[in-house]
Amino acid sequence: MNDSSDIIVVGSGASGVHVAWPLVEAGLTVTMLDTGVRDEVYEPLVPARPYTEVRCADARQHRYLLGDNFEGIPLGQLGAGPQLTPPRQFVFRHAEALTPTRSPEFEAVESLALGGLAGAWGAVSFPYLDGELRQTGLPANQLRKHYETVARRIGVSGDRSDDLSRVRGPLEALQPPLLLDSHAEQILARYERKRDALHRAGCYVGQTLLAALTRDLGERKAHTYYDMDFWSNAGGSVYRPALSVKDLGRSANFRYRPSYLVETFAESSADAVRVRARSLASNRVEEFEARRLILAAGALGTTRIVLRSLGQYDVRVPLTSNPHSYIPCVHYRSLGRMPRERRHSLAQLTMVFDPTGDREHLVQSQLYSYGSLMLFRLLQELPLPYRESLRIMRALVPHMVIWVVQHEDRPSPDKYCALRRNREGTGDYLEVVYHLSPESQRTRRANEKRMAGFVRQLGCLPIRTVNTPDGSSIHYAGQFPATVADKPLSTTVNGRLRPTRTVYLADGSAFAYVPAKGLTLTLMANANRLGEHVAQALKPTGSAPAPS
Amino acid sequence: MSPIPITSTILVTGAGGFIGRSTVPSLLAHGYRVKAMVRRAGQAPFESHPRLAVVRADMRDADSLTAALQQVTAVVHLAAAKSDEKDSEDVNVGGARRLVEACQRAGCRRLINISTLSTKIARQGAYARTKSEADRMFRESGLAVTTLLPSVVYGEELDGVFGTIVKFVQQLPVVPVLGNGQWISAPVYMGDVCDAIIACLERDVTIGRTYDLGGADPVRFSTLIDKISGALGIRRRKIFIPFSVALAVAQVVTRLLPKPPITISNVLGSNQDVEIDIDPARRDFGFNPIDLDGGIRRVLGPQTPVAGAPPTGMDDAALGREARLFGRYLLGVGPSDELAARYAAANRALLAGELVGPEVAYALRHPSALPFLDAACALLNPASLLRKKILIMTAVLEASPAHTDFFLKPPPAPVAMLLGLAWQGIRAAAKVALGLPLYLVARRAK
Repeated sequence: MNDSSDIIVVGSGASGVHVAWPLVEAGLTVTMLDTGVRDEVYEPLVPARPYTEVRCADARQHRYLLGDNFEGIPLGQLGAGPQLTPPRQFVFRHAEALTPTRSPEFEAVESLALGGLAGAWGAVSFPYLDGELRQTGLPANQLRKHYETVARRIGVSGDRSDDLSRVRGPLEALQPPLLLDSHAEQILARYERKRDALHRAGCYVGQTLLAALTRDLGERKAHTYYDMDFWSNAGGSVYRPALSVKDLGRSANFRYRPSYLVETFAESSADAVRVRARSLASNRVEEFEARRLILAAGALGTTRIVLRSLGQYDVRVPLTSNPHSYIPCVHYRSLGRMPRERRHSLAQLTMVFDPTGDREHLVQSQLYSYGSLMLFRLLQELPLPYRESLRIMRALVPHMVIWVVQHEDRPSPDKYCALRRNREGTGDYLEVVYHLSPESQRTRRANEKRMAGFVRQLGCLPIRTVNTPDGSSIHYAGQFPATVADKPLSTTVNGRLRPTRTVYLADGSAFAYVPAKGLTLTLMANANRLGEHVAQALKPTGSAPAPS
Repeated sequence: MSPIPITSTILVTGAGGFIGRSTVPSLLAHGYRVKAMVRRAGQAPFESHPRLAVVRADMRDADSLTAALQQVTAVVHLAAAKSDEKDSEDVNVGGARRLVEACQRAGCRRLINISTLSTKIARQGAYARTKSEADRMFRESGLAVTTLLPSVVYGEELDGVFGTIVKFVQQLPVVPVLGNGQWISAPVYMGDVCDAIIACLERDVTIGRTYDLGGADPVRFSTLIDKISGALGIRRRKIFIPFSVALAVAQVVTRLLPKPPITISNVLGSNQDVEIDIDPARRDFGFNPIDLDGGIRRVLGPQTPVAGAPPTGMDDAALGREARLFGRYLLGVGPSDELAARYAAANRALLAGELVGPEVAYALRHPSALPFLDAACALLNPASLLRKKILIMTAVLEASPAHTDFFLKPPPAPVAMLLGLAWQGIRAAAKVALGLPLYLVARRAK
């Protein structure tokens, strides 16, 4: 089969949909090849009612709270975290089998889902500072308008002018902030009283910018405060890339082709590239042709396709991933108050710590209230008999908050991935090696200690600091970093993969550095920028434009 | 005494029996000369071998034993009357006495006495009682005796309890199970038993000692049936025969038939759990039995899962009891049937392949011990099956509107809450203190 279009985009995640958007708007024909795994089981089951009401009344709650295969009962492993509830687990389904990874300790998490990893995204949306963009290898002056475009497209809500605006990039296109829950209100009030001392120490707190609506946007509805965000997305108020795939599908020049796993590409001329993809329905390899190929399969997925297509087996390419930790705390200042039930369960507040005083090495933490994630998940953490742990946790959980801390990460020789051939001669796998240097580990520990100190000053008593396994932040990047120097297996500032002429990388694989901020919003903004760039290059059709 | 040299001659009594038929070739393969003792000539199914001699003798005939023991360095004693026959006493106890005397006359000092784990049960049938008596007689004989107590033995040759289950599964529409199927045994692979016999012959440290011989995985009887059915690719319903009924039937048929299909010893043996501890055997002669699933695959061929058949290790009756036990423990009320069924389903989904751990088995037998075992496991063995199972029950209870009042109970005022937390802390600490010794007991009570 020979299938031809102007552009092939591989992947339907945060990068894929926003690189496709300007191309589709420019009238180019875009084919999106995607594995496209969906949740058809749980989403229709979860009632659009407040959490407490659901718990008291829904006889089918066990189906989505525990999962039909009880996948919501984690026995022993913390892994990528308790937020991966059964209705979110489709995001990771089949990935282990179809995109195999081997690693002694790194928890490589990938998605083959419609909407990609962002289907389980916490929706935290901070633009990078200029310094952070510089370290990432992205042009700050170009990117600012794309942040605004994307923020308008997906709907970001937050406070335009609180203290966090000093430690994040600017963003004008903001909906009004979501209502804070009672913990966050108290903690923020306490921060206000201690502001000067905390600022001197380099600590800034404010309301989290979230890709969640406070006003209706298109067909999507404003947030309902049902405290059901871990279980459902009533009214589509939290942004998911799958919503954009639906929007794109309204254009005649966009075709979404699910059930294809892209294996390789091959350039046939300066203006044509062929893509070989395995149909998951027939298990046959089919060919697709386009003038440009844009890979947005997620950093690890893209790495596989690139290294395989270029025959670069056993070559090490860099890998970065934000280390992250949980600091569960008892918010003792809330004792005696019953938390409000009307709340959202996304991040409430963000704390940014500037350990070096130059805003080049920020550490960031989000505040969550534990409430709607069920007691039983916490019980394994206490070395006590279950009968007593249950009663202790039941009393504590309404007063418990969790600070999720995230650190920057930059490439080093001890962090890499390499594509290896299977010994049997068929297929391959991605080997991932990730060792934080002793120095990075020291910095990480020291910064977490400082964070725990700030947390204490804000009225929270840290129980302990839980370091999650390497890789569990799921923020991977860095394999083909954007650089001005013309060397193979890197990207130009406009995302073209060297040494190819027609292949672009729109996902994190082109980020040379991951700041502590979380990269999803920047992935989308950068993808939109690349999309516009490629659209401009192809728009005056007729003669083959020179690649950038 | 020094270890038995490889050129020695070993007399195997009961050579034509289930274990003997495998032991003889093993000893030969190991280089020993073997005298295979059988009662009748037709009982020796062995291929001729330059180092093998078949001798006819009878445990009830002292002279025949003396003759069989000429030029013998050591005896592997397997002969026994197992079916509660009228002459059990004569064969097992009298036979032991005659064998000891014959050994003394013939100057043979070394004896490996293969008895049965059911000698450890409290209420014994004729078989267990006479074997216990014989074991005592061997221990006091002055000979260099090692006694082995195998659990259920299984091998490529389908005989014994295991073989009977295979036959039942293959031939009967329903499989009769004595009692509630909760009886725990540790089926041990024939090859491992033969290795143990030879290892004991070669190690003087085993002299004067008694060893349990069990497989690596203790298993409930009902689960064993499921595993065998699974391996055979046949799905069978089980019918549970109450002990009282089974015992009455056994008493009748034992009187009526010379070789009854079910004996009083069978019934009693599958009614009472015994401690199986293979650590001494591991320590003293490197006993290292194959795991049950591997053993079953070896004797029955590869396991092919049958659509619709429940995974092994999980039968409804046992899981239902667990659900009620854990539910009462956690909330003070037993779960509804629906929640118990959900607990069972969660066990099948999450714990497939994990067999009953010693703590779970102990808690089921002694429900009042559960809080203390849980407390001890929380500290010493947080990944234990018991902790996993209680967590599963907690999750099932929490995700049900029936118990929302408990789980979403608003926290009390700060002072009351702090007192409550302190109280729970004290309770937990007390349970840990009491639980630690109990945990060690339960672990031993494999």
